[in-house]
Amino acid sequence: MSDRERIFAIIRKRLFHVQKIKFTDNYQSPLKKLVPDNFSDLLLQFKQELEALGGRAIQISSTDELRAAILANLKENSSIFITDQIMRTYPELVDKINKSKKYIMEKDLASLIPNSKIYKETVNSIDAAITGCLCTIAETGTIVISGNSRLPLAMAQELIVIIKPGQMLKTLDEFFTGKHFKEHNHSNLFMVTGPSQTADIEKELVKGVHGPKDVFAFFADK
Amino acid sequence: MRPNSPGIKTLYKKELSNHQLRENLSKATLQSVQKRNKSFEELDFEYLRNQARQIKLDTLSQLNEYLAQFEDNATKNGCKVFYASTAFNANQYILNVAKSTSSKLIVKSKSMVTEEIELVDFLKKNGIEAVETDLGEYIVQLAGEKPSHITTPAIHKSRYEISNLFHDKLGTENNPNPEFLTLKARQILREQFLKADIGVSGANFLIAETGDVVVVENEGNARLSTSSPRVHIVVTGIEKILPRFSDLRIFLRLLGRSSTGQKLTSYTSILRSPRTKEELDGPDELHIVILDNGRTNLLGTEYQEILHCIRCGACLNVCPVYRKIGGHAYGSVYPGPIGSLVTPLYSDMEKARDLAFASTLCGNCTEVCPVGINIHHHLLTLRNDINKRHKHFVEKFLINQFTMVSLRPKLLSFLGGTARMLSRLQLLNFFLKQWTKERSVPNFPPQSFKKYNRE
Repeated sequence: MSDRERIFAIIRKRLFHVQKIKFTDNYQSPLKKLVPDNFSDLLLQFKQELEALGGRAIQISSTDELRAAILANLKENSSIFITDQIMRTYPELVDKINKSKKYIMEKDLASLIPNSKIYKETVNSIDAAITGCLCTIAETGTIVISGNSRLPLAMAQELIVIIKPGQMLKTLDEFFTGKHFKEHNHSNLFMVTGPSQTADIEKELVKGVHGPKDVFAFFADK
Repeated sequence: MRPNSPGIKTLYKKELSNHQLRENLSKATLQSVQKRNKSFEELDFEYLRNQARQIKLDTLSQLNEYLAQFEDNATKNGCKVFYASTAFNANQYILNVAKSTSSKLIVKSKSMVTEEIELVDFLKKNGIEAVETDLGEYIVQLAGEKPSHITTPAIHKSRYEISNLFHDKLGTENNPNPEFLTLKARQILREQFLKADIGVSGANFLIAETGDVVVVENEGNARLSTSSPRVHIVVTGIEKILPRFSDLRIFLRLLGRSSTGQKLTSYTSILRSPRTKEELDGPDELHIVILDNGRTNLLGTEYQEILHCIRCGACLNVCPVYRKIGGHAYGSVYPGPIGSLVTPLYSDMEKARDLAFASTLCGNCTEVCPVGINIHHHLLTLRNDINKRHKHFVEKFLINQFTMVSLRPKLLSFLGGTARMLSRLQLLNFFLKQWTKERSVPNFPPQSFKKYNRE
């Protein structure tokens, strides 16, 4: 008898006399405060939540403004990773960012063998990663990311996310009950709620343990 | 219970005399409790906890169906699901995967189940190195210790102790600044992430209707452990199943707040499949080991709801016993009130029979439990069960004698008078010297209640 058969047989035997309990979903929001409806109030809530955790949320109205905001937050000679999705949406972004920066494009990484030593070493040299996202959640200041490269976003010191209009969700309820998220076809979804942090040493908060120390959310007007 | 553990009765005396430990614990647990309470202010906690409880009741009453559904969906997603009845079988499976992929180095994110099966020691004996990557776990691994808290493994250590440890083991300068120590660990562990062949993680939830594995964390080490190596192995218990994707809106809100006072932990990874063709990284293989190891003992019994536990650690932070003696004194992988139930009921009632008595039964644990487990009630029931198994002859004899004396007023009066006289002559301490080693004898009143009442 395999372990699987053994475990299932024990469960069947143990639960033979136990009545099945069916959960009736009459869920209501547990939030005491009313959730705002309009985008500007949701953005304000998202900003408050993310900034309370040590991240930054900035509204931008043009690529020039985006470039200036990114440059203001990058160190000299930074190595920047940019996803294909961002390059498609903002093709002029790279030209407009300072030429002194080193760029690692997602399409260039794609030419390396997945998971190879050289791939990982290249990724490890990235200081900042610029990506888009699937959606954001105002209730918690969360950014939900899916994409083709997990490591650059998890290893960089700075995570820069550019959010398009219409990507703001109000609550976790909206995200977890949204059919398109349940039935997504990505290998994984990555929910980021602030910088990487720990309080393992005497409960003192330290940021940037293994992942990004800084998280920037840029909300594009158009 | 760890093998050859001396048990709580021996261990607590040592921990009680450790003032540094008590100070660390007191500071850390108080801060956790304050943060937890504040984070629940904006939510209807009772409503959420009741919803969570109903979902767990549903899940456990149809566990076979939900497990099969999860297995089916995870397999369709390209994952390999393995059921393990025992710790040994789980370890053996992981070892086989390591051998078949010629793996030498494993990076591991924090997981209580892997502590339970003692995976790191097992792999070490078989020539495979497994490195803990959660900062707290890394500290206790360097110190050759075990975690003393479910969510804050190095809660018992001060910054100075950690600084000395890093200096001795890693050759770093002696600097007790937590930021300095954390960044040192980041540098060292980054190399391990890049080199590792396998990443091992736990799972906070398994979603039956989608086959998703949900891992929550704050540091980013779980994300790296599950993304960088070419093989990812998830090790988790059968009770981590949730039926629906939408159930996460309830459990994630409860888990973050209960464990660290956060609305949501920094990272939540919802993992569905190994790396797809379009992806540049991520594991080529995703194995999911679902462990029984005594959990099914609880199904269909009055203790079944203990399987609702989501390992948030909230009951540890509010427990007056845990706050004084810390996690190591329990001598088991799962410390605190929930550990005092889980350890005897999962594994060996004989070895862990003292644990049920390591509680004041104040009920703080039950009050904060996010899934509504009546922890202190179960501890009391467990005490009764243990007492039924083990007859305490001396105690029974003394109670019979007391009953006999109580039913004879003249004899009771005579013995009362004798005790008062011995007390006046300071002789009671001499006759009860064993008992008074850790207790003081109350002062007897000069006359009996009977006489006092008559006057």
